Amino acid sequence: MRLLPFKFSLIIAFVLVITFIAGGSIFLFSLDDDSHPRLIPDQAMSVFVDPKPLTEFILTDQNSNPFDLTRLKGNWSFLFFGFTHCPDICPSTLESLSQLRKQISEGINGSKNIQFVFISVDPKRDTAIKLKQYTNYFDPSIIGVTGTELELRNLTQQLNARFEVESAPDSKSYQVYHTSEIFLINPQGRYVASLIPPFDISTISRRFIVLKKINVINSLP
Amino acid sequence: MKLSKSTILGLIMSFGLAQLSAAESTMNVSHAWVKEAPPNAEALAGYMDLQNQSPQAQTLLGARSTIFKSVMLHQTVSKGGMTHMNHSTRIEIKAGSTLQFIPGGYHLMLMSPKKTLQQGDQVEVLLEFQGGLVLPVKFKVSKERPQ
Repeated sequence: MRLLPFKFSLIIAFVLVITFIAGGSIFLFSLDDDSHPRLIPDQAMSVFVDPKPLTEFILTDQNSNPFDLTRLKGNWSFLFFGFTHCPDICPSTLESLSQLRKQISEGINGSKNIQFVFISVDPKRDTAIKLKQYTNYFDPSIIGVTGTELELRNLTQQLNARFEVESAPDSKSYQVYHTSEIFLINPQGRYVASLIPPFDISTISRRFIVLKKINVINSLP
Repeated sequence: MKLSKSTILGLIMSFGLAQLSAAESTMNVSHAWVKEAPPNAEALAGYMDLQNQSPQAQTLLGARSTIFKSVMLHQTVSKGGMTHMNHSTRIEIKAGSTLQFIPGGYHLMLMSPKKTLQQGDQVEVLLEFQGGLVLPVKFKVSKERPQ
C-alpha cells in the first residue's frame, strides 16, 4: 500500500509528459509573483501545480439566483470578466467560450459538469435581464453573473483579476477596464489555470481534457 | 468681375464634389462590416480595411451615422493583463498603405443603435478625414468579417 502514492505520481508524470511532448510543447517551470510554481507549456494556458482553493464569495446570476462557491464545486468552471457595453473584446471572448464548449464536448462526449460564466464588472448598467439577453445570444448555456463592486472584488482578488470602472460626468458612457484572461476553476473549487488571449481553442481544449484526467487520478482515494 | 448667386453656389457645389471624388480616389474602403450584436446591445463595433491610395498620409478624424447616437474611433488596448478601449481622435493611414480595423484592435464604437441590426442589414457611416473630406461607407451587418 505504501507504494500507491508513488505509483500515482508516476501515472501523473507519464500522462503529463506524453501529452505535452506529443503536443510539441516545452516544459517550463517558473515562479510567478506570488511564488506559486507554475507550469507553462506555452502561451495558451498557465497551469498552477498547486492550485489555490477559492474561499466564499457571493454573486447573482441572470435568473437572480445566488452564484457562490457551491455553484463552482462539482463543476469545471471557465470564468470571464467583462461587461455588455464592450463591443469588441467581450463578444470575441464569448464566442471563444462557445467554441471551446463545443470542442470540449466533442472530445469528451458532452460538456456535463462544465460551465462557462460571464461575470459583468459593470453592475450599474448590466442588470440580470441585460445579462440574460447578452449571454443567450452567444450561447444559452453561458451563465451571466454580476454583483456589487464589493461582492465582485471578493472573487476578483482571489484570482488576481482586476477591473476598474471609470467615473465619468456622463453617467451613461464610461470606460470599464478589465482583465482579459479566462480563469479555470476545478470541481474542488481550486483556481487551476488561466487562459491567455488570443485564445487558441484547440490547444486549450486538448489541455483541458488532460487536466480533467489528471484531476480524476488525483482525486482517487 | 461680379459673380451671381448661382455661380457662387455652382462653384461651392463643384468644389464639394471635387473633394468628394478626391476622397473616393484617395481612400478605398473594403470589408466594411458591423458585428451583429445581441438584441438591445447598447454598443456595437464596426470594422473595415482603409486603403490609402494617395501619395500623402491621410488622417481619419471621426465618423458619424444617422443610425447611431454616436460613433467614436476606438482601439482595444491590453496593458498589464487589463484590457480597455482607447478613444482615438486621429488615426493616420500612411501613404500607399492599408490600415485594418479588426477585432481586438481599431474599431468604430457604435453607440445606441436606433433599431435592432441583424445579419444582412446595411448601415451607412460617414468617415471624416482631415482636410474636410467625408466618405460615405456602407457597412454590412454580419457575424464575421465578410469575404
